[in-house]
Amino acid sequence: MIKVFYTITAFLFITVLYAQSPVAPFSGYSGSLPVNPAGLPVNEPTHFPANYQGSAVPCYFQPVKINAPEGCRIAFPVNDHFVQRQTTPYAVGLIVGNDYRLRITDIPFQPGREVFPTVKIIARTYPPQGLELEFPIRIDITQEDIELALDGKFITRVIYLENPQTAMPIRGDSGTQISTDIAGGFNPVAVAATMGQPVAIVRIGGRIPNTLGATDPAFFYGSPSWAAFDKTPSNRYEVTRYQNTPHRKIPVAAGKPAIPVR
Amino acid sequence: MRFQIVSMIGVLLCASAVFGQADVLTVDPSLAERGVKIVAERQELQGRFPPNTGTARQTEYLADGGDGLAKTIVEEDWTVRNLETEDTVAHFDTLDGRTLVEPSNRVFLYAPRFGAVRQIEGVLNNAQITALSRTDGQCSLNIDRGKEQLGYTVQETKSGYARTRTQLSGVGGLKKSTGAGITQGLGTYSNFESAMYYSNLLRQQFIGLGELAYLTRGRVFAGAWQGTGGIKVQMNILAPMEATAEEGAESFFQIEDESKTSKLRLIKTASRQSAQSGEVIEFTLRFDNVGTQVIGNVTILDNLTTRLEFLPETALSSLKSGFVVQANDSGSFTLRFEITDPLKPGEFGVIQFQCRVR
Repeated sequence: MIKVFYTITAFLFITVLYAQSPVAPFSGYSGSLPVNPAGLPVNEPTHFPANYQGSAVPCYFQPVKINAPEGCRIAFPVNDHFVQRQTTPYAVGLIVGNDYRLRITDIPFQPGREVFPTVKIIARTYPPQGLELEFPIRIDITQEDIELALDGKFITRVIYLENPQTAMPIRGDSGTQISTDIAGGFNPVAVAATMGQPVAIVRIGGRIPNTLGATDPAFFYGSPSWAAFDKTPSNRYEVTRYQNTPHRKIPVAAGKPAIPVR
Repeated sequence: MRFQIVSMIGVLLCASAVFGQADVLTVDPSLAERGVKIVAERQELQGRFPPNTGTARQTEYLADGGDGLAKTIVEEDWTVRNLETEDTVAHFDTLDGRTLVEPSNRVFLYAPRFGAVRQIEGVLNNAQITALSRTDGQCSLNIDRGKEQLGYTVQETKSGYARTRTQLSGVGGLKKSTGAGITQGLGTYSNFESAMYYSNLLRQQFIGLGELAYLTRGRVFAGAWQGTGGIKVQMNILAPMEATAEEGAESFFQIEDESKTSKLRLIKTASRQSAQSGEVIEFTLRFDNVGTQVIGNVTILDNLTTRLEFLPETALSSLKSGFVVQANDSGSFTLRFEITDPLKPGEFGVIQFQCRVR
């Protein structure tokens, strides 16, 4: 009887242990990126309240530098609208874990056309204090990427932090980001994890905005907060944070129903 | 059964206590066997990274110096084995016929480099046209025109950047002056007045208290976060000692040892804290005979990491020495400085060279 009791207890104990195993964030991901059960890197905020719009943003804005072909203009959304088209390269601060929709216009050799890539930061960097803006995550969107997207293709770019132990012995200052093309069917995040630590995912060639005039919040992923890093003439950075304004409740007059009755 | 359960809980608690033990400074236990008496020691835990920072930082920094996982070995014919990428070691011969290896400290350089994996997928265009051109009484399809147009799918398979390497490259043997490398002219380093940041340490045998901050800064520039990566600094000593598991340059020992020892200290520093790709870093190596006997055939080996490209004609040495540059398996270079004359107790030399960050 006692043996049966201990056997059941041991079985329950093992079951509880297995039930608490962390969940892998990506299918096939086998990199060294420490993650929590929410699929985000350790020490990152794991919970964004649904109504955080307009509230203070205590998160870390990971500096990101987006390089597009010369002449292109990049815009990020605020309140489900694209604002302030900026020239490339564009330095912005993005929050880890959010999807950002951006618009690229003034594409060379493609007058009047535009693409709407998405950027998702999946891990932050840890530069020495004061050097955060000197070492942003570099995201290159090439002319080829844009033209393939305009041609109906879907391009996924996974940016990774190169492991110095397995770095390729080539110069990295040639102006072109080291890029490796893989065939379809592979998991680009898993491939990037073999070369270093994946930090960002860029997707080009997906959805286009609703042309019927109505704003589609899903298209903008809720317009998460971001920060703009503009270099001043004195070679210093000026930080401007953009975030959604809180939704105002329309007051209901006393004695009147909230929904008019026909 | 109850006793077994209690025992298991006890073992678990003991294991937890062991693994959760705080970082404690430990001194080489063989010191006591050699009759070394430690009369004073001080430890300050400055300059360390906070714990549990994970592996994220390690991929952002270039580490150079020290002796890696495989311990560097020098054979009788001076063939060097297990010299891994990033290793910086010196070996020398003692009066009693031994050959000893001494690693340098490690320097860390914040130089992250980002790459990209690109995948292009095409939308499959399917167009099927099925037209009924004629029907007869049997209501059968006379003509069935099926047309399936497969959209083209472009899979970019650039073969550029196909060169890869494995982590354990550069472990191969390295013989002394076998002609495999290129012997280059070595400039004379004599600018001790501008000897970087901690002039007293490079010019003289001791370090001033006021220069501790500069030494710490030059030593790590990014903080000491490796187990034994710190510079071992000794003050007021009669003979050298070795402290293990010590990370800071702020630990001081005053020891008394009457025995005759042969000891070389090798310090490596970098001129910058961080660097973008393409920028130039100046490395300085200072080696001191901190023993009580003459040592000879002092040879300093620096197996550069992949992302450091040695700039020719930039190597300087304060002592007469040979200089050989040899390509290593990781796509960079191994620098070999062979000090010509024996090094008397208290003597030192300084070596400088420059690298470009790839």
